[in-house]
Amino acid sequence: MRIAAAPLLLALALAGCATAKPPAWVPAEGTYTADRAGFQIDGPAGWMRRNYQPPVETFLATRDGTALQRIVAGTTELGKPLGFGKSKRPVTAGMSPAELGELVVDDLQSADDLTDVRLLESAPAQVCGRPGFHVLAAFRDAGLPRRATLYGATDGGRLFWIYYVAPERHYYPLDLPTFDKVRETFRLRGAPPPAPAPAAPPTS
Amino acid sequence: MRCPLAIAALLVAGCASTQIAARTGTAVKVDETDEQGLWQLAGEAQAELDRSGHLYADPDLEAYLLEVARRLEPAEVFQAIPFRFRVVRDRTPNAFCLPNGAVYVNTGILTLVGDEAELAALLGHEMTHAVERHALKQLRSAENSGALLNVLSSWTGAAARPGGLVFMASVAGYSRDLEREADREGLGRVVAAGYDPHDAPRLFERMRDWVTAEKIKPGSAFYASHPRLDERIESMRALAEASGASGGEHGVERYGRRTAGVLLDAARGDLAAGRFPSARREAERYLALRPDDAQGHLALGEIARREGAAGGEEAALASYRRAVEIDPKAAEAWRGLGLMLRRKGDGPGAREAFEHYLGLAPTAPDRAHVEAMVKEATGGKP
Repeated sequence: MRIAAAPLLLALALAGCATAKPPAWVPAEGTYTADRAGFQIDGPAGWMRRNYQPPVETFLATRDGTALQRIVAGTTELGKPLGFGKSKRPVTAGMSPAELGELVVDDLQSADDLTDVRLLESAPAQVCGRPGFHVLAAFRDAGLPRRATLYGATDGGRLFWIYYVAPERHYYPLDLPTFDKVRETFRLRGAPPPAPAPAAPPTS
Repeated sequence: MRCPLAIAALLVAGCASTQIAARTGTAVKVDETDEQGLWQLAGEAQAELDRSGHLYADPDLEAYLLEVARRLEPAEVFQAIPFRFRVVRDRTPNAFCLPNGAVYVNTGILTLVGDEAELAALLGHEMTHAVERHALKQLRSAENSGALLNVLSSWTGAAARPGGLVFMASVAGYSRDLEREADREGLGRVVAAGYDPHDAPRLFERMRDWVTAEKIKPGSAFYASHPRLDERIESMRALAEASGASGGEHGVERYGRRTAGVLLDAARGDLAAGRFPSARREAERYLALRPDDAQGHLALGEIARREGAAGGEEAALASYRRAVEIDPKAAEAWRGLGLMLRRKGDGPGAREAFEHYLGLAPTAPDRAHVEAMVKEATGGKP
């Protein structure tokens, strides 16, 4: 299992178009609206994106190829498993942020192709303006050490999530600032765009 | 790690200089090019496996498998084929032996094995494949060199992926005749070693139950190798009867003691995957072997908490409490206890449990979550 592949393949399979031509890559810059999933996100300049459509609508962006870095955003309906790995444990209403973080790690640990899955940090976080969680995990995928950082929060019967995964060496730290900027734009559809960060005070 | 090519070369050389009398069938010359190539490929596959990250690293368990194996074959066989045993963390009940004597046993089958006699039957079967050179026989039975090459490539290609190992053992496995021979010869060694051969069919019965419980469908990689489980159960029963052995050693206690850790590991794996009934069965079997082990009680508590079933709260609390009673330093049990007490609305109890957890695991990766819950329990907002 590749962390991005599961929801995307699931999307294709559910849509009954597993053999259909995948959506085209287009420049990621600009606001993307996921109508059915109910979120909006601003893609980074210089990256490409590809969006899988309903019933499982996801946003996928990369600059150099998904094996080297990818940002993926999407939603999971409450009552259903996350779908990153093979865990059957569903996301349920009333799960605390700590339990949601635990669920993510369980799901990664259940993935066939991932080994040495380690939780580095699980902490509360604001996501889409709601109390949510942040998970930072390390694992090996086909022997290559990778890191994944994931943010999520529940709203209206869904878990909204966004993650970034890249090889631990070089790529992960390189594009983490870009992910953080994109993550700050992740919002529920119809919510106002995030306010620009305050300018740094002048220094003498 | 030793160089795999060097190992392969040594194995081939060792094999070429030491003739093992095949117990059945046509004697095979061991110094021929195709067998050397086969052994070299096996060495490469072995190296891939060993660095796959999917091995269950437990030297004591590997030593135990070797101990049982040494009862099955004379020393001269081990001199010719240096059998070594590795355990693969894979819940599929399977095992296989490469032609060079590298035997891989999945954790999934170790959780189904009930005693040492059954383990001996399993290992005897797999070792027979190497001693009788079944891989070589199967390759030589290929009708043309193209087919031979295809099988050779599929061997290494599949073995390069841990998931593919099951495929290799299942789909690119041995013919029905060779499997029968391995059953017959393997069981003969079990009897000669003093084990009760009548235990052997039980493992196949549990495998059949597993296939049914997991709803394994015809056409899947695993099913492809075991479409004839019923036939093999009957065959093993007949072989056990024909052996004339009226009893023998079972090794129930010894097997349980030496492999209990596999059960706990399997319970944790099933817990993460949300397979709660399997996880509970494994944790309970582990606790039957080690009733005063805090980690076993912790596992049961985690299963009850994460499953979230009706009535599970009290079961989870009881398990966590038993775990911290046995081992007050079991940090994860204090965490689970805190989560369950919080769920029940017992703020002071949750706070106390969380404080124990943070005291025992000050650098816990979820410290921020737990601190927020402590704050919440003391009246502050999370």
